[in-house]
Amino acid sequence: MDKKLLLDTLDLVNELIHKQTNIELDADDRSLQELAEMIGSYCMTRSRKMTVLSCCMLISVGIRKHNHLLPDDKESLARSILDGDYLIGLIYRVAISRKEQKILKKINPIYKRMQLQSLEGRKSEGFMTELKREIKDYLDQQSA
Amino acid sequence: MKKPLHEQLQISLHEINEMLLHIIQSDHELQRSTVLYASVERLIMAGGKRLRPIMALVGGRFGTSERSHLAWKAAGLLEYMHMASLIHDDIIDDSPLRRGEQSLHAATDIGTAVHAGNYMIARALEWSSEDELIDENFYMGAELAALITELCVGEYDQLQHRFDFSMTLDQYLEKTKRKTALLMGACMSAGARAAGADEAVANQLYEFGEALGIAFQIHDDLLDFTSTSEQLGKPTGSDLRNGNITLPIIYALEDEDLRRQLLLLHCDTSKAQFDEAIVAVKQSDALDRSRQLAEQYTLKAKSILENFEGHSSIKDLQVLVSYFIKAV
Repeated sequence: MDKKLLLDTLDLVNELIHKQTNIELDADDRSLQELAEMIGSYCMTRSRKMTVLSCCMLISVGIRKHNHLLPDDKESLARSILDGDYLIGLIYRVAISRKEQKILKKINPIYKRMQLQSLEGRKSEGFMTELKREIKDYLDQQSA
Repeated sequence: MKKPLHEQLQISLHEINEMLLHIIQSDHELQRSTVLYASVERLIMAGGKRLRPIMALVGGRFGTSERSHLAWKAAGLLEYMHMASLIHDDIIDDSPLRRGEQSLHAATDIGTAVHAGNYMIARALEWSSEDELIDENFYMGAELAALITELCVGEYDQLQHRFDFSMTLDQYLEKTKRKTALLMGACMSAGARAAGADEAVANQLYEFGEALGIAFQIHDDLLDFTSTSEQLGKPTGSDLRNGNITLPIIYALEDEDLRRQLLLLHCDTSKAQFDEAIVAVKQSDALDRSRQLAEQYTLKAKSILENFEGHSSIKDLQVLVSYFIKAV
């Protein structure tokens, strides 16, 4: 596996995150490692691979922040809500600034459906599988 | 009595509300029997001045009439972003009320309110590019959605500076730009861009909206001191009680006696001590000085109007300036 792709992307994302947020992402995520492996196998520039993986990383962690809220700890609750909002907003910023806007058309509907599923009380485990499928579809189209 | 803002600008609030409802009604993935649908519908029906979509539609008048429907799309997306940010802000600020009604998290629960806010932005972005043959509108919408990061940094700023009485005027203005003014500037420029206005025009409209946005936030800071708790739907001086350092407080800190009194305040201070401090701030010149700074920003907006001499929609910008001057 191209572990360097994951680590370089992590560095890129952490550099893009505004210092005031105090958010730092790490690479200890099995599903992200799988995505990195899949993205790494496509024939495209390393910069584009990093952009696609950045978006996956941000949406994955952003959703997790909003799914693990501690209502009784006001400080932690406020931070988790802001962190999630910030990371999801950053997906749009990263995709636009790195000219990979088309990926947003794939990610936005999944993200919306994910919110609907969460509101219905459904578990979010299937989300990463759906994300991986859509990203694969996107990469297939892009490299065709 | 003067007509309300939307009537002066010949914008139908009914049409705006219909558009906002249409955004959820046209989502085939959202069941009408759900708590989410009812919650968003209730939020929309609760009304409001709809300043942001009005600003986007005024911005759209600087483009072409063939593309004016795209300014409506920008207006819908921006109002949904604004509503979603209010839902999340109410949780962060632990506010049980919004416009005199129960806030969404109080009426449902925190998880529902968080996901509802997220859904609203994603859905509005999806809606803003529906029925369009080109992707351009989606990307324009995505650029607006990216502004969320700036709004968040403004919120982080506020969170990290709770009861931080060392906040400077420059820091306050920076936070205010991010929290409020940026979105108002974006409303003006996004409406213009969507409707096909020149980039230079869109940029000037951004400056115009940003200046009005700062005046608007200062006005909001003042209302926290000058309105009754009944009018506000929360106790007078709630900003100070929550540790939010607003402009009147920054000015009040320049008075030595007041400074000593304010520096004693913290999250566990008694209600009576806060009440005393709030009365003291009201009796000082801090409110007048805040009003003067707000006026300077409305004058700044007015000075930008010179760039639009000869344009048929300059009168609409004048209406906006007059509205904000009156509000301040």
